[in-house]
Amino acid sequence: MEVDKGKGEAEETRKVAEADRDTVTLKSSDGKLFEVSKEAAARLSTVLAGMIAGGSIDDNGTDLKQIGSEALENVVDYCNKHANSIPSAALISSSISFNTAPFKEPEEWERKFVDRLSHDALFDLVEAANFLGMERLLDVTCHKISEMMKGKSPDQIREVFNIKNDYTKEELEEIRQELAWAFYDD
Amino acid sequence: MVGRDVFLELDCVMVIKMLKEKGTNRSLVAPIILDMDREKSCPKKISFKKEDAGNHAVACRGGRSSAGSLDAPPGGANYGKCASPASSSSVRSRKRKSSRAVVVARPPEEVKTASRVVRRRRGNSKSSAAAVRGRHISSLCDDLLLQIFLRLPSVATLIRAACTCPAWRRAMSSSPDFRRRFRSLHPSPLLGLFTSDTSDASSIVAAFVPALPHGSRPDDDDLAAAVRGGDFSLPNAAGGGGGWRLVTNSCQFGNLLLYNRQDKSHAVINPYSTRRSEGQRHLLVSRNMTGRYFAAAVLSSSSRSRLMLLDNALSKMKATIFAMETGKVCSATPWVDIPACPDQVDGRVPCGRICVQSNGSVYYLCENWGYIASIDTSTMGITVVELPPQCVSRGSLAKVGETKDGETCLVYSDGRDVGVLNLMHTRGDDVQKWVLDRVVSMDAELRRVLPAGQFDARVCVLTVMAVRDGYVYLSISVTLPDSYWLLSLCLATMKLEKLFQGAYGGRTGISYIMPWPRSLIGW
Repeated sequence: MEVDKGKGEAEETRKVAEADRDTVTLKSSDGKLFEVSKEAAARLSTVLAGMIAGGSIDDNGTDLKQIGSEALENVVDYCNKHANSIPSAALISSSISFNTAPFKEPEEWERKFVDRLSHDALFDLVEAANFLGMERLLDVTCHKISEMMKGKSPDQIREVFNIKNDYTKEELEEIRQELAWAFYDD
Repeated sequence: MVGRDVFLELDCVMVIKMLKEKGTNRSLVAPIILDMDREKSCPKKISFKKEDAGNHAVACRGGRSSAGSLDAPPGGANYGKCASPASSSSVRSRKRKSSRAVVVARPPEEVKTASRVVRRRRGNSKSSAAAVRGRHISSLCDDLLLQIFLRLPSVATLIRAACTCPAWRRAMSSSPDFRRRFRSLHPSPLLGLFTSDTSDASSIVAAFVPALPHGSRPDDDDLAAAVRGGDFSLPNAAGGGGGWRLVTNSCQFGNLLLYNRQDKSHAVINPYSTRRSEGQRHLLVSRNMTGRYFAAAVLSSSSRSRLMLLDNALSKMKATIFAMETGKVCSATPWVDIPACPDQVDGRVPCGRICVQSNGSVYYLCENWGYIASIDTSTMGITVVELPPQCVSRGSLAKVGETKDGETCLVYSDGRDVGVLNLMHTRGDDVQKWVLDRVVSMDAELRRVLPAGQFDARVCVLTVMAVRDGYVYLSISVTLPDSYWLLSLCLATMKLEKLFQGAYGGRTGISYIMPWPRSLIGW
């Protein structure tokens, strides 16, 4: 009992010390450490915000076993860039056509940020964003991938994503019967 | 509770097996699975419900990792599919690290979630398609794929994506939730109107007026392609004989219902299938209707369409469902009493209109008769309810449809006001009540969207054409002679948007709204 109490106190002091720091250290699945501003982490990621509030942040690096170092680097990079960027008027104003209303268009810097990523890195980042509950980053990355499908024929989409066509001829014919108008290459 | 600690050190699947064999209450099993799972649980924002009840993927609730969680941080592993290959080890191989076994009773829904998660993981191993080594789009879980698909600009793009591989098509078509969310972001395009080609409203509906989209929208090309891709010609469009006419409000699920006055038969044509199988029309002789008035509707979008005929006598009503292919009666309701029909209301013979919903419910609306009947097509029961006074008579036209959450609602217009009523089921499931949710004046919105000078509060009158997936399609007469605008109204925001401008028949026309592709349902 006594020992337990002592432990609890130590925990308390550790938490207090932690609360004073303004960065958090994140550890990728392959053991690399990254620092990110606590404020940005809490604002952009619901999961990190929860962990910070719940005191389950580790000084020596909070283990994120689901995220590889490359993806985590991008996450941290995004957090830092986001902290530095001033939200543009477009992001603040809500009067966008209802076609796109719930999804705000990516900002210029966000576009550049995802444009430079390889496919591999992009898919990793989508998963990391989902994992960490980073709504905006998920938005931006999903938008980027959807743009890679836009205006393309099924063949072209397969080429872009290196997808094997495992449809049977009959199955494809069935769709084309109903929806021939949707195919550019008809 | 014997040997609980031992169980926790055992293979989880084995434990479940053992407990099941012993006939142990499931409530003990579930919390154990949950504890295993909580180690990896994290808040999940997105989730799409699967059509198949047995394959549910439900949002995992917040569950922040509990104490001692640093070696097992909150993670996406709770939706197995999302986990990277290295970490997606199944429950089977995971053993509880904490030595202290805490089996706590949890709220039932959490328990459910846990067991569903387990089920889903198993299902996943089968359905991983297009597997290529290394990082690949197929390694993304269905929920993330659907997040990506939601951002595609139009149904046409979605269809092309569905055609790339079966896994994608399956992801889209197994989730009604996705369908609704896509529709709430990209309202079903109105492809055009069947109208009479003169300003005489009583003349036979003959010609299809394609939508000429206003402004530049990303899906304009697709809309034009969709209009071009369909065959909207009617049998007697060129004034030829045959006696066919389009049944009012019959464009449900993309089908057109025609009625032949001469031999009292019905035909269903689909603009997107007739072109391919030339001349293939489903014919049905409707037999002698005993009622004074009747209405008809096509019930399903599948090739085995069923036709419902409503026989509507002076103070009785009956619904009969026919199989379109054979013309045989599938089922019928008994005669049900309805309010007695007046000879005339405001100088016009009362008549009703049918609204069919995607869930199979059919509503028969008769405003100037003052009631609404709902026909349950599975139990074949008819419920007749008096219409709330707001939408009775006054020349208002109402339509029943769905909100974007799939709830049934009734939308009526009165001058330039739009009223929305929600269907409430009181405890005894049979009792229905339409509750007025709101009445909103569209004046300000109309001024905002209509071209300057075309709006005049004294002459402009709104007409509800259809209600689909959270959007109301309206027509409004404007100050230009014989001219109207078609508008869409988002029920969530009550914002209007212009669709296109036409001449004649805006009020009496029948709107053709693009149906959700059959190929993307329940595949």
